[in-house]
Amino acid sequence: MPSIPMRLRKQTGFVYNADTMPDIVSELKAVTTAEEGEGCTAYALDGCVPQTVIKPASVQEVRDALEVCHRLQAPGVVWGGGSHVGIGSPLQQYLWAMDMRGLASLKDYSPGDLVVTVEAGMTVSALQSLLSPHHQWLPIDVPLPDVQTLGGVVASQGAGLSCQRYGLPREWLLAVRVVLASGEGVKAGVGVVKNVAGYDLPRLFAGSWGTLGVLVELTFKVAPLPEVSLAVRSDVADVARLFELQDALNHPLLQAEMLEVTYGREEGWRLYCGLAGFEEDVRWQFDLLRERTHSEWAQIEADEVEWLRDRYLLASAVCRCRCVVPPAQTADMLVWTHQRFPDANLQAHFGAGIVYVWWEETVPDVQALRELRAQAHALEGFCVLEKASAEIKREVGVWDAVRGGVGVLRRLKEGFDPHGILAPGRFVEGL
Amino acid sequence: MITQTASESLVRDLERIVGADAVLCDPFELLVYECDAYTIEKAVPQAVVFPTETEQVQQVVQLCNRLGVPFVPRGAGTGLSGGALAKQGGVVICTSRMTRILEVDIPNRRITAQAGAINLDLTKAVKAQGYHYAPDPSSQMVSTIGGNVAENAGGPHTLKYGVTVNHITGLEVVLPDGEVAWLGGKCEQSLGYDLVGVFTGSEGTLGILTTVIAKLTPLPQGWRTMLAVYPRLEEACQTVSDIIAAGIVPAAMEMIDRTTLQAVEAAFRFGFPQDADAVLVIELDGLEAGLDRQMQRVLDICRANGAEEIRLARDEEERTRLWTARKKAVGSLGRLAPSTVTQDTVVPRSKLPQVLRRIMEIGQEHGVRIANVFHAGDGSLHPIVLFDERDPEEVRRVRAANDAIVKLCVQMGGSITGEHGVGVEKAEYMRLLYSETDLKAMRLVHDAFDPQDLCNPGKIFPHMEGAE
Ligand SMILES: Cc1cc2nc3c(=O)[nH]c(=O)nc-3n(C[C@H](O)[C@H](O)[C@H](O)COP(=O)(O)OP(=O)(O)OC[C@H]3O[C@@H](n4cnc5c(N)ncnc54)[C@H](O)[C@@H]3O)c2cc1C
Repeated sequence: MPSIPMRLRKQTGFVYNADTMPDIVSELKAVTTAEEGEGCTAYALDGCVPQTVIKPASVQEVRDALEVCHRLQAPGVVWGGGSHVGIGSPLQQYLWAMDMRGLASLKDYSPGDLVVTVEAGMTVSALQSLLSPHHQWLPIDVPLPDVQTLGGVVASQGAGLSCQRYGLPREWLLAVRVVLASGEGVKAGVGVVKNVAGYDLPRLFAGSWGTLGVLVELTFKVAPLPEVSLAVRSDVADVARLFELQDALNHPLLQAEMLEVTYGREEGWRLYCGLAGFEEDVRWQFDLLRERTHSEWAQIEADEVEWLRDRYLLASAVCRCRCVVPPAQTADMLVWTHQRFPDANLQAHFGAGIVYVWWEETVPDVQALRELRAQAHALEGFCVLEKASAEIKREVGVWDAVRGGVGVLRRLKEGFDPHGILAPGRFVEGL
Repeated sequence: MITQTASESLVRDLERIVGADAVLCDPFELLVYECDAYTIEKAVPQAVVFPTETEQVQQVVQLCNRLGVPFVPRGAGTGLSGGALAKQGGVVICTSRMTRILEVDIPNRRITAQAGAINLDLTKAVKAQGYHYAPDPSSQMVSTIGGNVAENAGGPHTLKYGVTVNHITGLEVVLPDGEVAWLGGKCEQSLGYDLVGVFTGSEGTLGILTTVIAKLTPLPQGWRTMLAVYPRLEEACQTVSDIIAAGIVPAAMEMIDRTTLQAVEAAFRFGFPQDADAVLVIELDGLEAGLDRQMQRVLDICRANGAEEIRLARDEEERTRLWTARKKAVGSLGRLAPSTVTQDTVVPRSKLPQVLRRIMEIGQEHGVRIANVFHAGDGSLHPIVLFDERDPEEVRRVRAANDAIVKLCVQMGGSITGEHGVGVEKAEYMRLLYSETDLKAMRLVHDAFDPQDLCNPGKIFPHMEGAE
C-alpha cells in the first residue's frame, strides 16, 4: 500500500487509519494514468498533497477512474487550470487530484449556428483562437485565459472583466456532458439556443465547484466579435467621488462592456471603462461617458487591460475576499472597505457588484474579516474568503451562509455524490 | 378524466387559510380548471385556492403535506403543454390574486413582483424610466411572471435578449415541504448551487413560486423594422444565416411561409406577390448611431439573396403594420381550416431549409396541411397543422404528422420543445433526447426538492417501468 504523505495527516488534523485506507492507486493505474511522487506536490491544497494525480485522456478514463474512487469511497478534487481550485474549505481527506487538461479537443463548431462544443479541459484562450477566425468569441473574459480551462470557469462561475455586460458563463452554456461520482455518464441540455425540455441541469453543474460531477464536455452559444472596442481610464480624485460616478454611469443608454474600479496604495483610485460594438455606437457612448462623468479619460493599451484582468488573482496576497452585493451597492461596499481597511487593495466589477479585497502583507484578524462579511450582509450581499491560511479559513468560514433551501442543497449533494468523493466538505454549508 | 370531490374538512381547512371567497370546490366551477391551453387532456381538481400572500401558500402546502394531497401551481393557465393540469387531482394553487409589484429598483435594475403579476405589467411599471422586462412571450398580456419562470418562456426577441432564465436573479418559493426559501436575490452571482436556474423551467414541479426578482433591460433607443418577400423559402433562410455571419444580431427575425401568407393575404390584403414563398420580418434595435449602417448591411444581404420586395417601416404606425403580418398570422390560419394544432420544436438554425422541406413532405405523406410561422433567428419552429377535429381519421393523421415532426427535429440535433415545455404533452418524447441515466439525474433533482412527489405530480418524466 502506498504511504500517505505525512503532511496530509499533520495539516488537516484528520486521523487516518492506515489499515482501512483504500489502495486506490493500483486500481486507478489499471484504468488510467495515475501518477505518484514528487509531481503530486503541485496539486497541494491547504498544504495537503494528494496520494495520486489522475490524468485521464478520454471520457471513458474519467468514468473508470471515478468508478474506482466511488467504489473505494476515496475523496479527491477535480482540477482545471488550477487558478481557482484553492478556493474552498480545507479538506478532510484528499486522496486524488484529477487533472482535466488532457481532455481538450474541439468536438463540434458550427459558426452559422453560433454554437460550439468542446471538451472541458480546453483553455479559454484555445477556444477563443478557434472562434476568432470566424469573427466570433465566447464572451467570458476571465483573468487567466491561457491557464483557466472552460470546465473550471464554468464550475466556479468565473466572472471576468466584461461580466456586467455578458453575464456569467452559465448564460452561454447550452449543454453539458458530465460524469457523475458513480462513473455514469450523463448528458444534459441540447445544443440549440432555445430548449426547455426538462430541468436545466447545465445550470446546476455550472457553479457547483466540482462537487456534483465532473464536467467533460460543454456546449456554448457564442457571439459575434464586436466591430471595435475601446478601453479608457480615469483617475478618481477621492473615494467619495465613487458615489457620484456610480450614479453617472448608471444610465440606460450607457452599455459599457467593462466598468472596473481599482485601488492600490501607490496608484490610488482609478476607474476603467470598456466600450465595444459598432463603431458609431462606441463613439456615441464615449461622448455620453464624458458628458455624464465630467472626467478626463485616457485611452489605455492592451497590456493595461491585461494587467487589469488578472491583477486581483495574481497579486501576492496573503488573504483575499470576494464580496458580492447588488450592483448599485458597489460604491458603498468599496468605500466602507477602504475606510475600515486603508491598507487593503481593491478591485471591483463596478457594474456587477463584485468587489475583491486583498492584503499583501498583514492578514487582518478574524474579527475584522467577520466585520467585512457583516457589511456585505448589510448590503444584501455575501462574502467569500477566497484565500487565507487553513486556520483562518476554518475560523471565519470560507463560504457565507446560504439564505434558503439548504435542505435541497444537501439532498442534491447526497443524490449526486452519495459516497462523498467529490471534494466533500469543501463547498457551502459543509457540502 | 380524474374527478375526485374534496372532503368537507379539506374545504373547511382551506377556507380557514385563504378565506371562503378564495376557495372553489363546486364541481361546475372547477371545470374551468380542468385544463390549461393544452386542451387534449383533462382532469378536474378537488379544489382551487386563490391566495394573496406567501404565508397562505405556505399553509396550503403544509396542509396538503399533512393530508398527502397533491398540489398544483397555476398562473393564468395559458400553458400549452398541460403543465397546470391537476393530473392526479388535488388542490390547484392559483396565483391570480398575487399580482402586486412589490418594488421597482432602478439603480439596481431590478423589479420585484408577486408571482401572479402579468408579464406586461412589469414593463408598464418601468417604461417611463427607460427600461423594460425583456422576455416577451406572445401571451405577455395575460401570462403571469410565475408561469413564465416556471416555463422559462421565450418570445420573438429572445435571439438578442435571451429567455426568461437570463433575466431572473431571485425567487421566493414555497418548497414542497412547506419551507419558505429565498433563492438568490438582487446580486449577479449567487452562493451555492444555482437553484434559481434549476427552478426556472421546472414547470411547477419543484415548488410554488411566490415572488420573483427580475432584471430590467434598457429600452432600445431606436429600431429599424423591415419586411422582405422571397420567391423561395431557402433564400429567406439563407438571409437569416448571412445576417448572423455578418456579425449582426437583430432583435428579431421572424418567418412566415407560403401557406400562412395565403391566409394573411386573404385577411389583411398586404398585396404580397402571388408567388411569394416566404416573408421575413427583421427588426434591429439599439443605439441610433449605428442602426442605419446595420440596416443598410441587412438590406444588401436581403437583396443578394433574391428578396423581390422589401418594405421598411418609417414610423411606429408602419412598424405596427409590418408586425401585423407576423402577429396575426396564427389567427388568420383559422380561415383555412376549422382546427389547428401548434407544434413547438427547435433545430440548429443552419438546418432550417432542410427541416422545413422535410416538414412539407411529412404533411404530404400524412395528407395534412402544415403552415409555418417561426422565430427563424433561434431555429425555433412552430409548425401549425390545419385540420378538422370532427374527422377522427384526420385527427389520427395529424397526430402521426406531429409525431414525425418532433422526431425529425431531434434527429437534426434539435429539441422537442423550445418554449412550451414538456408538461404532460411531451413527457414520452423525453426519451428521444435523454437516456435512462440522463433522466435518472433529472429525477435526482426532482427528489431533492420534492421527495414526497406531491408537487404537480405526473409531469415532465416519461412513464418509468415499474412506476404506478
Ligand atoms: C396565445 C398564446 C401564445 C403564447 N406564446 C408564447 C410565446 O411566445 N412564448 C412562450 O414561451 N410561451 C408562449 N405561450 C405559452 C404560455 O403562455 C407560457 O408558457 C406562459 O409562461 C405560461 O404562463 P401562465 O401564467 O399562463 O402559466 P400557467 O399556464 O398557469 O402554468 C404554466 C406552468 O407553470 C406552472 N406555474 C404557474 N405559476 C407558477 C408558480 N407561481 N410557481 C410554480 N409554478 C407555476 C404551472 O404549474 C404550469 O406547469 C403562449 C400561449 C398562448 C395561449
